[in-house]
Formats: sequence, structure tokens, C-alpha cells
Amino acid sequence: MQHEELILKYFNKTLTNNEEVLFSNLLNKDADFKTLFDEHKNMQLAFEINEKEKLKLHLQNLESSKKSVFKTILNQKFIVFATACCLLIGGFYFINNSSSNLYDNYFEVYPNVLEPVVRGEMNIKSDAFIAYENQNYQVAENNFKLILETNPDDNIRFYYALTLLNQNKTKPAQKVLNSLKQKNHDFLPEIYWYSALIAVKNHDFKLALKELQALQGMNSTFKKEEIKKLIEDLN
Amino acid sequence: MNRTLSETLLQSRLRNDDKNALETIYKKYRLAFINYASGFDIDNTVAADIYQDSVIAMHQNFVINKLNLEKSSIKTYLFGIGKNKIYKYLKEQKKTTLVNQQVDDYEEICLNENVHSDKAIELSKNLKLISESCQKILKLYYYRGLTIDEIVEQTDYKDSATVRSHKSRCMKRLKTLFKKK
Repeated sequence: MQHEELILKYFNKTLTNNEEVLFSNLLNKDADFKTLFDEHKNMQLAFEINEKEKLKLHLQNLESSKKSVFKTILNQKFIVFATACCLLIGGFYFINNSSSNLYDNYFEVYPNVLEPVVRGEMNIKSDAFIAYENQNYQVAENNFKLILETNPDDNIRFYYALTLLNQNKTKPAQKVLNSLKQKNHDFLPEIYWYSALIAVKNHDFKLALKELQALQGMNSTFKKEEIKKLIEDLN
Repeated sequence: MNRTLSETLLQSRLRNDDKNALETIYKKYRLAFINYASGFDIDNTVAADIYQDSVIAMHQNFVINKLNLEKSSIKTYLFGIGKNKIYKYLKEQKKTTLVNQQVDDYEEICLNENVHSDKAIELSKNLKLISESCQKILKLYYYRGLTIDEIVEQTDYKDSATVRSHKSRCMKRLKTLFKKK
């Protein structure tokens, strides 16, 4: 019997009595066998660590989706109340459109256009995007961060920045977005748009205008009308 | 104890690392466990966290050690692990007096959860750097404990020689990553 087969049988607890004796002798006397055994053990442990990490994220996502369902039910119950409130304060809101809520007027959560979510699929990337789509931005942030540790993909980095921004973590989001301005990826106009909005939020209108003008120079169709309107609002 | 067919099937699916079986169990006993943990004065968020760790520990014990429960149900086993984790948590929080107050049907189960060596931790990071096909074949062999022939049966590899050579190439790649550091 091959040594590898014997070791596998040991871990599967399927050694016969004779094989157990053989196994024990080899482990004590044969250095190469011991090395092979240690390698197997370490590989098993390494996978155990990675699987534990994946399963934990998966169960955390399950937990978060339970909360989202609960929130949806709650939202439906209070929808009439909320609508009434909106009607009452709506007029007031538009009349008093200060610079601080200019950001809120223009800010929209950017949709997941990178990774179509396949339900039932289980890997860290799909977990991250499911969490993003379910607005579980803390879970999405953790997952994107983990992906970036081993795969420095700038498109993923863009979504990482947005999970930060969607949680109002403006400063770190801005840092990541700035780092992406000179990189090659699919979201350059989006990066300038969200950078402009962050500048608006920080009351740095000069910088906001600069970002928007750079964006107009790209001749992109992304938010074309909104860009024009925001420039007018800022001037 | 006579096990029901669904219990037997669920155990078999867990041994085969079936994530849907894991989800089924997670959802089935979640509320009961959170209620159980509340008896130890543990809030719902912490209870959910302990429950997740217990489900994972149980699942990995099924996959790695090919666990076969003959004398207890999945629920009893899971709650036994959970009880052990609750006690650990309370000990860390120095709420030891409460520990003695709970009398219930669940026998505490302490799994020998491995303390991970530096080598295993480094290996776990390097595993994320190799191709998905390498991760898959090595996982089937080292984590799931499938033999080469079983891997041929469960995958699209044409024969055992192909599996062996692919596995060997993947191990070489992994060892190269180690040497680079």
C-alpha cells in the first residue's frame, strides 16, 4: 500500500488493525513518512481555517438577510405613516435645500453591475455582492477587504470604496477613490462623480467643481444631466 | 435510539460537506438555541454568534472526522457544543456564577478544536493564491478525505492518473509559494 493511501486511511479512521501497526511503525521510524504525514495534517488544518472563515461569512450573511426581511415587513407596516410624514415635510425639505443636503439630493447607491449574483453560489465574491445588494455594507466591506488581500482587482476596490461611502465612512472612501483615479478599470467617471459628491459633503465646492469639470471632459454619458445640474447648483 | 430517515440523510449530507444541509440545520434550530442561550443571560447578538460557531464546529467535525451520531440527535449534539461555547463565553466574561445555575438535558460537548500552527496559517493564506482547480482538488483530498478514485467519480477528471498528476502539480505550486516568502 502506498504511504499516502495509508495516511489518508488514518485520517478517515478506516485503518485495519494490521494497517494501524504498520502506520505506527512508519510514523516512528521513517522520517519521509513522518514528513508526508505532517504535510497532510497541515493541509487539512489549512483548509479547516479557510473553510471556517467562509462558513462564518456565509452564516453571517444568512443572519443579515433575516434582519433585512424583518425590516421589510416593518417598513410595510409603517409605509402609510412614512408617506404621510414625507408629504408633510416634503415641501419644507425642498424649500430649505442647503448645501449639506445637496449631497443627499444627488447621492444614489451605485448598483452592482460587476458581478451578477447567482443565488446558491457560495464563494467570497458572491457573498460580498449579495451583502452589497442587501445593503449589508459592513459584511460587504469585510468580504471585499478579504478579497483584496489576495486579489488586487481595481473594480473590486471601487465597490470596496462604495461600501465605505454607503456607511458614511467618507474619509477612507475618498482615500480609496483617489487611489483609483490613475488606475485602469471600468469605473473612472463614477469615481470622479462620487469624489465630487464627497467634496460637496465636505463643503469644498471648489474641489467639487474641479472633479465635475474633469468628469465632463471625459465625454461620458454617466450622470450627464446630473453633472450639469450640480454645477449650476454650485455656481 | 432509532434515528429517523431524515436525520440519517442529513448526517450523510453533512459528511459530504453539503452546504444546503448546513443551512437547513442552521435555520431549524436557530431560534431554539437563542432562547436556550437567553437562559444564561446572553443577548441575541452574542447568542447568534455562538450559534454560528457551534454549527460550523459541528459541520467540520462531520466533514473531517466523518462523524456518525448513533446515540444522539443532531440537535442534542449541536446544543452540547453550543453549551460548551456558552460556558467558555461566560468564563471569559467572568459570569461564572451563572454557569452553575443552568440544569438542562444537554451534555456539554468539548470538541478538540485544533490550535493552528504558524505553518498551517501560512499555508491557509497561500492556498488562496493558487488556482481554483488546484484549491478544489486539494480540498477534496485533504479536507474531505476523498480517495483518488472517489475524486475521479465526483469530478470530470478522466482517470486516477490525471488526478494524481494534477494534485502533484498543485502541491508543487504551493511549495513554490512557500519558498518565495
